[in-house]
Amino acid sequence: MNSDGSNKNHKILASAAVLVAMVLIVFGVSGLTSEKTEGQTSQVSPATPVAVAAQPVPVPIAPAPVLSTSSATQPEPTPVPVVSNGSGYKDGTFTATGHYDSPGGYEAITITVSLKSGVVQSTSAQNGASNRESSKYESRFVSVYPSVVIGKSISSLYLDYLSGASLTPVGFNDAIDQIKNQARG
Amino acid sequence: MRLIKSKTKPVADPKTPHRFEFEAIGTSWIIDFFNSNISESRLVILLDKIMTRIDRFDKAYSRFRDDSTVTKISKKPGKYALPDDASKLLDLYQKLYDITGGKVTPLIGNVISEAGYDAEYSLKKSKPTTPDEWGEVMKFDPPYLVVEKPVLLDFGAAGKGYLVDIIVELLVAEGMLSFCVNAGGDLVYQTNGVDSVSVGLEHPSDHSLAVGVAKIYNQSICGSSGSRRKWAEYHHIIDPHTLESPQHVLATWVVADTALVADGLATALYFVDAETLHGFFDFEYAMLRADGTLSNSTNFPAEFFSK
Repeated sequence: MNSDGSNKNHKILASAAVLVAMVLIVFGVSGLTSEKTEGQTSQVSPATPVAVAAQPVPVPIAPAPVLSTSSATQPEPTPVPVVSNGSGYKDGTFTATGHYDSPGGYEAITITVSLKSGVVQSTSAQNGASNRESSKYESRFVSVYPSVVIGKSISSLYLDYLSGASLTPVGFNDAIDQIKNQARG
Repeated sequence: MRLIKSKTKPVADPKTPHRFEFEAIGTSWIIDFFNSNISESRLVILLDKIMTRIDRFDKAYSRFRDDSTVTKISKKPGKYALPDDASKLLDLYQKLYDITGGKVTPLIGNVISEAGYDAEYSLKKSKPTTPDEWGEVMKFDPPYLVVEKPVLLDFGAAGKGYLVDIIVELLVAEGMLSFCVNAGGDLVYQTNGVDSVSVGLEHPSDHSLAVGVAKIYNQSICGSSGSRRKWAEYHHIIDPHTLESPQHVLATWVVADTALVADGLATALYFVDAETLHGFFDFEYAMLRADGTLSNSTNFPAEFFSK
């Protein structure tokens, strides 16, 4: 049987990444821009209105602090305590480009995340696929709806595999990891 | 999460005996070989065969590539040759089409595309319309699909499971005895040993959580959930008659002998109840409904977590 060590880390990162990825809702890929202004609290506005869906209070996942989403219709989730703004993450706008390999070649996706007190204010993604076929794989459209939580934290379980929904492409998670590193206070 | 260096030389995780991870058909694959004395070089050759076979599948059935058979069918009527083993896939689709009154149909491609999930991922809705009856526009005469008018086919309901089975057959033919082929959470685990594998059943709304853990042993488990491919009022399953995505079900899981059946039934359960399907197939299932309740067949091999 394979060891679970690396799986757990993968799952932790995947889970944290997906929480941020959940706000990456693109309604028409063209026209999205990215800004790189570390240290300022500037906003990146999506090209078209983006529905940031509500999400239940996220489950903190050790060791990586969780980036939580916010929306006008939901109360602010509790930030994870650590740094000057209390979140463990600097305020600002961070951009990172993730890479992944696809049948069409080596591809890239650029993600910009705007953080305030560890809470994602807005995000945008730019499809960097050089191969037209790959751009089909890059765009993922995820929304979250409120639901009765009857789950156990995956990081607390010994699992060989996960089943439920096809996983988002590597590129997203790669970029999210970079953003977290940039933002860590 | 996962990194792939190249198509023919994927990363083998040193902590796991012979693990290969790569992206294909829009999802993340993991192929694990257990208790194997196979050499690294032979594994690389094996993996090359796998990637070649996946590409052949992709070239036939993908609606996202310009050069695929499916794309050609969407432009021009005619007689199209499908790969030799297409019979299994088309037969299952025909069966599900009949049982679900046409709700599981390969002709759903136009609907999904018009709803926005098109080859460009535009997510812009044009005007989805109910597709034709199967019998009126196409006929499968193995290995040919005879199409009377251009139609956009989509085999997402069971295609991934079908491909997993194909890869499993390939591995068995190569003499592999203990392995797991996992395509984005639709998997087959086979072994000549005694160990089962633990599969977390991912909560559709919060992916850091599992609603339960299934134990899989020489069988397939496939899951269907709209949570990761969701836009506007739709998710990846659309009812061709109402032109809406079913909202009463959040996630389904099916355990069966083959991934083709498990995958197809995981979709069919959005449209017909398990009792109906049990008249035609051997399977176990679990279903998470929109009201938060979870139901499952008696022998579904999993432990569930309640609040």
